[in-house]
Amino acid sequence: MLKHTISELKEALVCLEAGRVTLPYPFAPHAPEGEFRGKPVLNTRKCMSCGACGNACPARLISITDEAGVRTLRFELGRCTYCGNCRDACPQEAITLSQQFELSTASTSDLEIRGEFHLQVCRRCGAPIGTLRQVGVIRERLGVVPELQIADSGFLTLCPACRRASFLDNPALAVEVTRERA
Amino acid sequence: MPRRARYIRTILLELERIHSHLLWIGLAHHFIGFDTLFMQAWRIREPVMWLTEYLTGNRKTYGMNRIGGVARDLPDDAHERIPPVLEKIADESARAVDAILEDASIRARLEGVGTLPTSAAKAYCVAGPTARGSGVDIDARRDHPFAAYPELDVEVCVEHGCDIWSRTLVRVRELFDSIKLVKQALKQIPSGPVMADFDEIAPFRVGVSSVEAPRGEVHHYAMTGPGNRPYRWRVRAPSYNNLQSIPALLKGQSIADAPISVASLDPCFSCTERIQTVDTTTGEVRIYRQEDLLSEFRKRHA
Repeated sequence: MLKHTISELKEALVCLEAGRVTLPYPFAPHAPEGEFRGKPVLNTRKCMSCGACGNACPARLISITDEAGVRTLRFELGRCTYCGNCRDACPQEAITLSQQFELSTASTSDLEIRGEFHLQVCRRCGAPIGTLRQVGVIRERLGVVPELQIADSGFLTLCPACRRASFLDNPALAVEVTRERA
Repeated sequence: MPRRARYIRTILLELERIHSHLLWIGLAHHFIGFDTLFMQAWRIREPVMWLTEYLTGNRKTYGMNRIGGVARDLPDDAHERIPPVLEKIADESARAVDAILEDASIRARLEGVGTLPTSAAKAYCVAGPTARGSGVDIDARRDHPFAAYPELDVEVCVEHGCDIWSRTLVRVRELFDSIKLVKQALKQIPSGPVMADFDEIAPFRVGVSSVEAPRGEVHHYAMTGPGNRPYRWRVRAPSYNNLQSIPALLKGQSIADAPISVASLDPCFSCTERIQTVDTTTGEVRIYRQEDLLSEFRKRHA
């Protein structure tokens, strides 16, 4: 009996020592840890809509559709697990995981990120190659390697199939490339 | 996988065990009507959640395991920030546990209740603390070593009372052992990379793993597919085994003991969702696929 009373006193002590621990949240804001993985944010100025994030996303919530000369990149965050694979895969560092965590909503459109990008179409057949910005980034990167200047003689605005065809149409160019390699 | 990544995985798994067992201690008291200790156990647990948020970027869904390593290294001040939190949890848990273990009412509610004899535990293939509380000496950390466990002093806690009291004792001892393991892992963690170098993941290769989760052994089977995607994936969570023993636990007991008996397995129902319907007159079995479930659900909530 005495032992039992002692244990009850110990329990009371556990509570008393703790005191009040309840945080004022949600009446006062609560900042998460610095490296918190919250709602992904897309910087549409940096993004070239290459699709690397969609390939890396385990929940497959990033989709890409090409229609009428426009590429639409869409994130449906209702299925997001905030793993950060999209951020790690992005070559443009356009995705960051923000500090936002209060995401409950009655409307699914609040959980959608949408980016629209103009497409570069093949100047021969009209098939989409990539976004204008993607082609621009590639042109910029090729520009710093003098040996690759030859590849920019109009080839960036051709789709892979037309590129092959144009090589066959233009034997002089094919020879030049063969020489470069040798 | 680099050794440092193995250690980080181990540290997180043990932090997971600490918070899971504290959560269970709280819930168990809630089910026997002792809400004071329920709240105190959860209060003690909260700093672990803050610690995992600091280490991984989230309280619960860590998102740390990647193929070939872990997503991020320990922060620079981890060796200063983790030990004080562990000390505080160890100290506060010790005082709460000291009160619990001598409380005659708690003991009367848990001792000799929800018994699962060793033979039944083996027959039902229960796992984790449920098995160890029934005198079955199994623990994947020792039996199928993974992550950094081969280099750490893992102690397997076995109790032979076969009742809820024994399951409680197993979890309490494991709580303190996990704190020791995190400390040891922090002391021994080597420096180096946290991700392995590898090329594309070849499709149609199989991987099987067995990990000692807080509730028992969890098995994953995965087959890689083309295009950076899994082709097949099957999980056997420990609750699936543990729940099979419920009829044996409840047999001959009073209804008042049913909630704590079920809770003593620490069941996770979302881990065990399997749907198959059997028509009792014809014996016809129907398995529901994702599209069937979605259309059923939409019909009801339209």
